[in-house]
Amino acid sequence: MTHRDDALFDGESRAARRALRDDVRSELESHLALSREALIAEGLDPEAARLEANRRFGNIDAIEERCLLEKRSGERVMKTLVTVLAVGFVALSVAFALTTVRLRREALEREHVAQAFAHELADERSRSRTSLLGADDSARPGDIVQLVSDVVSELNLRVQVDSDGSILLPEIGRVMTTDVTRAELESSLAEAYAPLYVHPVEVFVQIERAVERD
Amino acid sequence: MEMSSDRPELPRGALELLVLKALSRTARHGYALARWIEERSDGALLVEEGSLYPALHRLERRGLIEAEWGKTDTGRRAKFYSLTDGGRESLRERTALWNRLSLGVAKVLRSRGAGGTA
Repeated sequence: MTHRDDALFDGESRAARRALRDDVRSELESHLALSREALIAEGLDPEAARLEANRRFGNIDAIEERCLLEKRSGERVMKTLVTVLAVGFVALSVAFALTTVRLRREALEREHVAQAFAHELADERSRSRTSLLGADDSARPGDIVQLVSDVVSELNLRVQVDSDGSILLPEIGRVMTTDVTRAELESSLAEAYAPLYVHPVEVFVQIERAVERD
Repeated sequence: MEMSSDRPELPRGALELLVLKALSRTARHGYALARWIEERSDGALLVEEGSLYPALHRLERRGLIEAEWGKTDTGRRAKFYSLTDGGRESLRERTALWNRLSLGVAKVLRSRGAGGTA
């Protein structure tokens, strides 16, 4: 029992344990001495008083152990409490860390999904919709010609190239688009519109071509 | 260490209560405390050392009593116990509780046997 207790309280210094044990032992021996003293005062001779005092007292070693147990059970409760709290704290910290990591991972996953979705959407658009022609490309029937003018708002319009390759524009009527490049179309339109407005007219042309899906 | 059977060993709660009571007026060491309780009960109660000292250390650990080494009238070294403020408070509470308990038990024991109306 003593060894087990000592093992349990290995944090306690050997000297402190000894001091505690000595203190309890001194107290119990003091009790025996007082008891002997009283018995002698009652008329017993010293040896008879010693025997009687010991008999009344009982097993001094057992009592000492019980006293030490009482003294230490408080420490034991405290140690248990501290251990439980420490374990609880560690468990909470780990749970918190894991949750943080999980939430972060989920956020990243969501971000990836969103990005992938955005890419897919962009791909889908580019595949299913249109592509823009370059400056040296020419329009074909069915293409969409987009005019953009910062100066003349009426010239911001979208028209489809007819089957004969022309487009119908305000003021200047039909203009052929299929036999010129996009750049040439831009400059010819600027020329055509120039006389009609006070300010120089600049017209940007975009030609969109419907692209078949894969 | 079996003592005469007409002096029953005190149950733990009662022993602690009597220890607190014994220290309510003055500091005493264990031996004097046990004798005081036995005398006050006209010898009806027996305080077993095997229970007394663990009880003292228990009460001390709970902060209800405190201990200090001193000298007895005969010049012998002994550990004297005295009540703390907490102990005084505990003595009041335990006394009230004990009185209610013993009154209740006495009432039940005094009542007529089975079938009697309350």
